[in-house]
Amino acid sequence: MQVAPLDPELRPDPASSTVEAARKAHEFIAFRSQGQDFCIDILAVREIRGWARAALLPHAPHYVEGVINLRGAIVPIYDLAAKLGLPRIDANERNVTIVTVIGKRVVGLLVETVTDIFWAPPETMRPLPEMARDETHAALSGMIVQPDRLLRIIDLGALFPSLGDDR
Amino acid sequence: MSPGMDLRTIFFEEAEELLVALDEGLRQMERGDSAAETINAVFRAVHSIKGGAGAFALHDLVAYAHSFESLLDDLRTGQRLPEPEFLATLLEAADHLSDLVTAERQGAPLDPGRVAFALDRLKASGQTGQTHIRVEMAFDPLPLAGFDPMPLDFDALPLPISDPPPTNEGQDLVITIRPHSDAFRAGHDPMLLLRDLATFGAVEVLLETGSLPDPAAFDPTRCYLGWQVMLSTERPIDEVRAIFDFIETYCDISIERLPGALPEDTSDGKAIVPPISEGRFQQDRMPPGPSEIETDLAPVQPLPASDPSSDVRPRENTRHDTSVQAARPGPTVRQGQSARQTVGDAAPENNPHSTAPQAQTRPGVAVSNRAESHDVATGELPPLALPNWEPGSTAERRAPAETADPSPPKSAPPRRDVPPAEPARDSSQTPQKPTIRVDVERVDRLVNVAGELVIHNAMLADALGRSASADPHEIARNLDQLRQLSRMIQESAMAIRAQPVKPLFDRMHRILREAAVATSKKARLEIIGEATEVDRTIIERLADPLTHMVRNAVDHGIEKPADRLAAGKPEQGTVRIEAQHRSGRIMIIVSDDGGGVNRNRVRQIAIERGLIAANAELQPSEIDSLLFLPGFSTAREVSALSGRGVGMDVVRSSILALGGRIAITSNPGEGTAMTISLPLTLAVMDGMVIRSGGQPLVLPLPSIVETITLAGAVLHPMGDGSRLVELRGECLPMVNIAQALGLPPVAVDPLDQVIIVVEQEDKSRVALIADAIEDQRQIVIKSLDENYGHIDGIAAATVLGDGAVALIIDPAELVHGVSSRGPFAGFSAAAE
Repeated sequence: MQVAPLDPELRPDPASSTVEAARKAHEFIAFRSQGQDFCIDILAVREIRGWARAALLPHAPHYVEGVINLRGAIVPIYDLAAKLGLPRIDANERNVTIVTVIGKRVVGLLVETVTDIFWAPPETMRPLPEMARDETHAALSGMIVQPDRLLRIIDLGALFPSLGDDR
Repeated sequence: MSPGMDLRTIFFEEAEELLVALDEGLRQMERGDSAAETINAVFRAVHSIKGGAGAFALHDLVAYAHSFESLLDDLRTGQRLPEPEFLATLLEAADHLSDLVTAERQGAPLDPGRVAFALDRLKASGQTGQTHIRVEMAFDPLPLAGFDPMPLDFDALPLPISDPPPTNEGQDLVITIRPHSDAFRAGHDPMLLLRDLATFGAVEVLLETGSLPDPAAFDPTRCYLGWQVMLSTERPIDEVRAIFDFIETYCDISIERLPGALPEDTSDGKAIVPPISEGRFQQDRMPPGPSEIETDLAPVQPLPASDPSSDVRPRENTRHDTSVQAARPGPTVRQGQSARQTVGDAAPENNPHSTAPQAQTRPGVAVSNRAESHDVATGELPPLALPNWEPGSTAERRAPAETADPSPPKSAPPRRDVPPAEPARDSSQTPQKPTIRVDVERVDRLVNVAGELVIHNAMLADALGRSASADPHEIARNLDQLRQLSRMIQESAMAIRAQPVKPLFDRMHRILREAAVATSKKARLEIIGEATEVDRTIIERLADPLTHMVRNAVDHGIEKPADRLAAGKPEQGTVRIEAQHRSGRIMIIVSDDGGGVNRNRVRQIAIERGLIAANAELQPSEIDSLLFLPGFSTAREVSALSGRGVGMDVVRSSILALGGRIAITSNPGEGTAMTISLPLTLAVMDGMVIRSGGQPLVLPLPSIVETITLAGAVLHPMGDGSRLVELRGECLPMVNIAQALGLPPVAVDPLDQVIIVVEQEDKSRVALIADAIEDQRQIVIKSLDENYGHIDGIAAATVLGDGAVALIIDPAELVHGVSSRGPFAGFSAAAE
């Protein structure tokens, strides 16, 4: 997937940066939920879908939106904001589902909007300060500070610790 | 189909079948059936494995099977009785044989030390009759007296018989080969025998054409020729005999030593050896009487119409000239050759004996083949067979033949370039991929329906193609038929996947046996409903849980023999595996008649491990269920078998993963029963689409007994808001589906609601309340576990016609969750 990054400064320029640096740079998909900016490694993303009504799941935690039919597979949808300890996002037909693969499982993350796709060299990634709320903190692996925004990097494995390991 | 690979595959597949037959036979003996038939069946199984293994040069297997066979031979000859101890040894030997076969199949031969050890054990366990075991001889076939189509019952010439002195010096043998008329059909080629003989030394071949019929009556698929071979060889007679191992049931062979040397071969220093015929091979195990007769007869057999002097050619030529020799009655042999050709070509795919592997279970097949060969013998070989072939004796002889049919093709693995007489079964089978053996009828049905589908597709396209004028009724009718057809296709496809649980259950015999030995307990396995058919996937994935459960039953359930006797029970415990269909699900019940769950101890351990609170008040059944908690084990010491603290937890999660559930019931002192309930299929089922809590949901149709409107029902409130519905004098508890699932309540007029009565596996009924019934249709089952996990009360999910997801309710779990939430609330969470 080759999408022109919005920020030209962060694009790995073959002329100036070494090949190695280019290899280390990650491509991220940035999105927004409950007023905060997040990003995940684009390699974990399978597709981005518009909103679809999910079937409710009984006895499910509050952050589980339900399940949808993704070309014959039953895929659970999680409200990412709620999963991170924020309030649930409002039901809105403009919400977007990011379908990701965690371990062997396919999981949909419901967010408000997907903003862009960008390259980030490793040196732009910073560790989280020791202060964020536990629930959020645990699922974030770092952050990327850009001139106009702060992107929280989501560690999908840590977000759903029970999904990646077993099956 | 590359023959080499497939023959090997076939050998191993047959070996598996033979091992099953062996195991079954031994168990039958254990139950006290020591009929000759049973013993012979067991013997045959080992013998056939040995024969096949020999053909593929699996030496360990051959050596072991040989010792095993010798042991069985003692049983057959009555030198040993099928006493329990001896049988236990045999069973153990059978297990080891099975290990060997598996090892060879996987191409990882067992540690030679182990093989040697096992061999020593076998030998130690009483090969008393060493003198009766002829080691050089690779095969010792069954008594075949009954098969002999030429029982030349001349009055016995009282010639004295003496054992053949072991000669390793040169000797001259006269070998008479008379293939039965059906030898070609079985894929045999006498030419190869003659060539083999020629490799042993100098041969001279005489052709016997006396049985040739009228040219008009000539049947090119039958063999009318016979040969007499003069062989001077230094090889022992047993080796010569071994050449005929594979053809003996289709051929009369006699081998006799010439008293003197042939004119041109006088090198033999041994002057005169009394005329001894090795006769037919079976004789060495038979009482002297019959062998006497046969022995003496061989030389007397008429050799009509062949002129030895003119047929004998210099030896060097014989090897290649045999058929030329035989060609003197020109047309005949040409036809004979073409017949051979036909047989050779036809053998792999159209072998009349391709049913042989089932011979043991379907004697009918074998019998008819045999009977046919007898008719042939009597009908078409008059000069040879007539003199003593009395109708009475025919019948008599036929009877034993039927029962003791050694299913010849099985014991006749191909040698060298012999066209494969092996039944070539499913040529599409490859060694690595799992295969299914399916009733042809089922496949035919599927193919038929699939053909129909194509036709209807065309019909529908046609109807639609007639554009605007298309009759909507016709299209609707076509669509309806299309729906029926797809349903039939789906059902046929499922039927192909359905397999009886028998093979799975039969494997448990060995598990039980080993468990019993390891724990020094006595136990036997009882199997009920082994013909119950289950989806193949389920069968495969049931193996591990079932193994665990059987081991557990022996290890934890059944008491030590002394304790059992003290409790007034028979010393031998019984573990029973039962399979049955109930309410559209498969029930598998593993029960034992042991001591039951020691509830005090279970409770104590659960408290020790912090699984329950010390003051928790649990029902007996709840205590029993604690066994399924992860990390729970009552074994005081970790035994080799069970007691690693994972057993029942693993069982439970495997069953859950299959969409099933497991329950335990136990009566102190009487035993424990584990009940597994599984969905019938993993793919498609009939469901009723209902609406509850604003959600579409699906109820499995087989569990539904009836539906009624809430408006007309007689309701009785019970205490705190729960209600009973009275239905024809029966009061059923009512469960609101939305409530039980914790779905948000939707305002619905109670009078519009419906009651759906469902039956659970234990036959108890519950009234479920839904907001509406929407449809009844076939649904495709989609796993929820794959991407999400198990949800209490939900079996799986499906996709409706509009693409929406609907959850499939598991009624029993739904009700169970309602009635006993509490101590169990943390249960599934812990197990997940």
